[in-house]
Amino acid sequence: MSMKDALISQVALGLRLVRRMRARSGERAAIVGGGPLAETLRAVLEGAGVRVEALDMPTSEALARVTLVVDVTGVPDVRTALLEHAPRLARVAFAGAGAGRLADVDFYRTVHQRGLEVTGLSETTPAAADAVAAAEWVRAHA
Amino acid sequence: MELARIPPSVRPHLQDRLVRSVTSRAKSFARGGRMWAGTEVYWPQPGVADVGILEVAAPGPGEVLIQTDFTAVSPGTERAFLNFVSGVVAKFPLRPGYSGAGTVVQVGRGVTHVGPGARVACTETVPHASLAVVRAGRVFPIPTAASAADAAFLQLAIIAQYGLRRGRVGRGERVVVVGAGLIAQLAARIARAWGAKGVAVVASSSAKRSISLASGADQFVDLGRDPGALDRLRADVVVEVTGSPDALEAAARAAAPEGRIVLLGSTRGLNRGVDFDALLRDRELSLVGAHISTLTDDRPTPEDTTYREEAHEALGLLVGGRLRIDSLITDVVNPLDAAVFYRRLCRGDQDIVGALLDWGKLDDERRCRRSFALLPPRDMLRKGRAYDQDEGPPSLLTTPPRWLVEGLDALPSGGGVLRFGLIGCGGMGARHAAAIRSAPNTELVATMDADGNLARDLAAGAFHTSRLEELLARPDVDAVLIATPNHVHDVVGIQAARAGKHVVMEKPMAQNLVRAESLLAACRASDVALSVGYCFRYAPEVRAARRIVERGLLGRLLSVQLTCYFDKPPAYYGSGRTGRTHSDWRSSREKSGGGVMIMNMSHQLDQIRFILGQDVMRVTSAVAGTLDCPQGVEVEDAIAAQVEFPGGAVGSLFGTCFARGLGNQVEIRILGEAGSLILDPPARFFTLRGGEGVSAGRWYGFGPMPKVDVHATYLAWFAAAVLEGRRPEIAGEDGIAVQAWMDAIYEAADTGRSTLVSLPAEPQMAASAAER
Repeated sequence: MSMKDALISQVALGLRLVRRMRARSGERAAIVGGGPLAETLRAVLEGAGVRVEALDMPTSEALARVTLVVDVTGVPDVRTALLEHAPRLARVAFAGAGAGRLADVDFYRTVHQRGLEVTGLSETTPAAADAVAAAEWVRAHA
Repeated sequence: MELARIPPSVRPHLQDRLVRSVTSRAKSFARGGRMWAGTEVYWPQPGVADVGILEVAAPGPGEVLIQTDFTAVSPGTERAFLNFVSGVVAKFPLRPGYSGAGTVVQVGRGVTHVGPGARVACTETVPHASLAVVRAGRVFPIPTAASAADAAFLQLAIIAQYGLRRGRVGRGERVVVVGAGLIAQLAARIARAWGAKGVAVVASSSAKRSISLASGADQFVDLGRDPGALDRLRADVVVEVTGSPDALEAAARAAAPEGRIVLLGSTRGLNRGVDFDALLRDRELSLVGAHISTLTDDRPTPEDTTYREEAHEALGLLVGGRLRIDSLITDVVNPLDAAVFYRRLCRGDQDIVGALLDWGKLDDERRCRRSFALLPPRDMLRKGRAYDQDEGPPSLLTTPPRWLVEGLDALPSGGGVLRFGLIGCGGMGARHAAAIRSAPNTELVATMDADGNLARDLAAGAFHTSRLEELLARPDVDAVLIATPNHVHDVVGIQAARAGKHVVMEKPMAQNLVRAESLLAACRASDVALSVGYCFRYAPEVRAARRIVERGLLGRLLSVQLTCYFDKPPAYYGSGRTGRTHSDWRSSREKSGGGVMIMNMSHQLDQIRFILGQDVMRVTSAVAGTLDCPQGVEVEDAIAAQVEFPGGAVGSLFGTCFARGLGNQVEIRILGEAGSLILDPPARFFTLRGGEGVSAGRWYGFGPMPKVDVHATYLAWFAAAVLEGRRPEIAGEDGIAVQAWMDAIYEAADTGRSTLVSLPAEPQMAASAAER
């Protein structure tokens, strides 16, 4: 995959993130993890008016005021921490490829009772229409 | 009282009552001292439901007091809590409840949107009780076109609707509901009402197929039959309502790419080793938690709704039948039957989908009454004891309610005297002579026995004769008491009837049904009263037992067990019990009609009829004869019968007259769906039904029973009935019924076949005069 193709698919993922997570201008988001994907997603979110902060480890204090959380690490401990500490009614995106299974998940206490919305997003070759939209986004933000 | 003397199992129960009583009193003093009292269902411990008195203070500012018509049961959640399954956090005693519908009784300060008399649905803090104090923000007027029964489900409808809201179900989207319980059914129906397309209900069996298709789902999927169906569903929104950790993967399989899975069921237990990539990420699914606690009066984001909006929308769906709940209602329960209902629920009865407690079934006193802040209701202070299924009857039985013991020794109070002639002056004759003399309204004016000496013995100066015609010719004899051997009962009785004498017949009525019927016909033709001497109906325990059954404390009858041990003296077949004369009729089947059953057990058969108010429908039986009495005894000495009642109950009736070393003992045990009644000492009963002055889950003793001379009491009530022109309580028809049972049992023993009891359709058991 060329650098450009990689960028297009990351931007396409970002656009799907905005759409699927219904990102709103002015809301606060946290991105857990670094790297090119994190940077791209940050740019796409900021382009949609979202105020983004970067986190290494999601603690409950750090997540207290965000409504949108994006994990790009895929690390089981991070995902577990996100489920544990994301605030009530937060939307959580698992955008990074998973690096293993989570040991025990109490869906009652984490997702059900706190009203989390957890969405999986995968960096794959985007559909044609998405790729076109992503290319346009890249042009506009070049 | 020393704390140490209170059994540990009772302590939380008492503490709970005390705390609640003190708190509500303190509140009510602050609000002018007025309180209200009603009835509530509560769970003293896991697995047990009881009915108790509820006291609430008048509504405070922003509160509304509601008298409920119905409260809705959420079978899944209540079952999980009552069974205290792992994952449930609860502290017993527990007061379950979700929502209800009823009428506003009183509103607190600042409440303007409803007033007294308004029909409302109420949610959130509504217990299963006849009264509820609810904050005004959770009280919603019911639209005129909606029924209170449907509106009582409001909270459950909101829960289902909120699940769809969280899943952002849109018009034309495909919705799959995993699970087929109440919330699942509501979700399917609301999804349809919202315009979802191709709503499917997915379940692990076909049990709820028809209820699902009734007015909700377009498709029903039984995973047991078609496990591959999940992958074909490709739903935009999957609503997971089972709460089973394992169901999550199934829910994900049913979703189309980019689909939303709503976690609406409360997951009980952990999911082990979750691979989120396979579960969500590969197909970019969303997993959305939907718990009612996140629906509030605030609007966290512009796309969210408020509780109030959801409530109004749900109530609006009830109008015009867009959401039909009535076809989901499987049980409308009298709250006094809560213990029985919740045991069904506990056991996992899958027939229960939508259940309502119907508080309108209670009388006004139990449902809603004013109470005073100073004193708790007296019945609240009654000594309580929580029910532990593993314990047998406690050694200390709770004191019985007053209705059980009141007036058990009542005698008639009317004037007049009925003058008796006694026919047959053997062993029983002697007892009857004494009874006629001791009853307040009967007089012994003549005696007769073929053995003139026996007649003279009992006459004690009155007229006596060895000739029946002489006695029957006497104008001062109003009625005769016939205590002859069985085989002449009908002959003598018919003669007496023709002579215009009222007839009291020693039991059995005759040696068989055919002869008994001819006696009844003769008495009817001569228009004289006829009674058969089943006098043990006047035994206080028997009358008390009937009261328990009549008040429904045993619920639906399931089984009856009768065991009779009699130990007869060797002289019994030769000269009767007293040995005053030679007689051998008892050993002849033709003369006596039979052995221990017709001679002795017939009393108990009548008692069972009397207590249950039912006659046996079909019987099988076997008999055994005397082993150590070779001189030609033709009748049975032991008999075992299995009987069926028309209501579906079964009985086992056993008797023997050779119970060596056991003396005379009778056991009658009557077991129903809701309780047990044991008539051998100490007589006691247990009920899962509250009300009627008893609490569910306790053993009650009968207490000290009055001493009653059953023979004299029986004669007194007979005499009163005749003098007042009424049918006697124990009429000829009762004698016929017992005879019909016995004929069938003997026939079944003779033929070895299951035999129907041939009962005349007509006789109804007479209302008991002594009970009035």
